[in-house]
Amino acid sequence: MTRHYIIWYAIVLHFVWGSLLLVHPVGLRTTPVSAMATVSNGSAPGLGLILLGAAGLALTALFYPFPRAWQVTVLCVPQQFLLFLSAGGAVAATWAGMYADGVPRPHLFIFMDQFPTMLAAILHSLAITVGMKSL
Amino acid sequence: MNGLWIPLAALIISLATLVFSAISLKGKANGTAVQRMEQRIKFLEEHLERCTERLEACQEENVVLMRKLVAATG
Repeated sequence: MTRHYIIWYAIVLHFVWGSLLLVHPVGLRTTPVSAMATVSNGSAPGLGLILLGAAGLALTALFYPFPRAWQVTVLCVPQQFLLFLSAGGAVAATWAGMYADGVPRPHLFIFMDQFPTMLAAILHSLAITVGMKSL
Repeated sequence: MNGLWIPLAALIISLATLVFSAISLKGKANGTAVQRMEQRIKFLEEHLERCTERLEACQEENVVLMRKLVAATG
């Protein structure tokens, strides 16, 4: 049961980010979101819909009683893909010593700030693979 | 700053997750099949043991009956 929490975390995160991007595109330049913008070709509403869609699929995976475990994994993979895009953006920002909006900071500063994004992607992957049988 | 490597890496990780899940599930399914087969073999062994005991009892009873038949017919 505890393995669900990281999936819930990602659902809420993507739901909030997606909703905010539909309202206003200012968040598109934040470090974890900017890397995801490549999948929507830089469109804020497009990315907002993609995030809401991924959150919806993961929510379905948690609530619908799928008979096969692989069906749950498949529905959570879009969410995992988006989390790894964010994590990739965080790694790139750490490596460059500069946030996605161009603000320069020491590498360790950005790493400490963006570490939760990287950690979430790893924990989510563990939850949908190793912890899949308990979903 | 964010090149094409980030989506590519994320895509590879997601595909790897799917492949890992598929292999893991297949292994689990095989494991379950092996367990079922082992249970079946155990059940058949026990059944065979019971049948052997019953056969031995029948043979002993048959010997007794044959002796009685011989005694009765003189």
